[in-house]
Amino acid sequence: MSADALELLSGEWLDERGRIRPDACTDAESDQRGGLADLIAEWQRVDALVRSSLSLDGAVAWDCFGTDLRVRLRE
Amino acid sequence: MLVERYQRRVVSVSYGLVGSIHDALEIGQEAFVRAYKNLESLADETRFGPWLMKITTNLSLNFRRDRAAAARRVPVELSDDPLHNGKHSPPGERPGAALSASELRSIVQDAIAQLSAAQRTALILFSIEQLPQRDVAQIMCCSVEAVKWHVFQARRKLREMLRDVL
Repeated sequence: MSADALELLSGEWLDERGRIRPDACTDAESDQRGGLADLIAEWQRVDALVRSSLSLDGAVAWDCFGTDLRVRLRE
Repeated sequence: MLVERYQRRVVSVSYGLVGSIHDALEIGQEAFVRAYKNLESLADETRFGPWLMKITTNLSLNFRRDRAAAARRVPVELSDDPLHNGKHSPPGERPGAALSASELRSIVQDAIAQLSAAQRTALILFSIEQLPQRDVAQIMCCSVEAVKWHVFQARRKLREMLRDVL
């Protein structure tokens, strides 16, 4: 089975909202179609890397954002 | 207040799409202003969140398109974004070298920038902001199946581009 086909099959490890289930790796590791566990784990690493790289923690003064917005809305 | 409830998500989505915190803040302000001015066009107030995200997404993609057009006329060499100013070499040229947080951030954002607009939008809204696929489909004006496909393609491309840092 090709890697592409394996990736398309991995939807069974998504939850009802289409996200990767927290226990997906455990299930996948016990599955006979090996390889999916690694793929799903890689997807989770990709998501985590993107999420951390786009984190706004400490980068925005939200009070100022709200204050500036109120000024603009009054204009 | 609606602003306090949604401001972080609005700016975060825009930041993911335009790659500059300064521009994302400006777009975020504009998104709230436009929402405020067009509230009467929102038929179902329970859908305010997705509606605001659609405004934010459209503003961000338009900004990105305009910036790309401007860059073709005048090349921009340096970013003034404090979150995106990490100079870096391609990972393959620095075997064994540890990447700083800013270098890693820069590499990831460069990779995200290489995704198509649809792939980038679907990834940011679904995987990062964790909006339901139904809402992402509404925001992107496409089917849920298309959202799944765009997310799948985005993850696959990023996995390839970021293989050295994963």
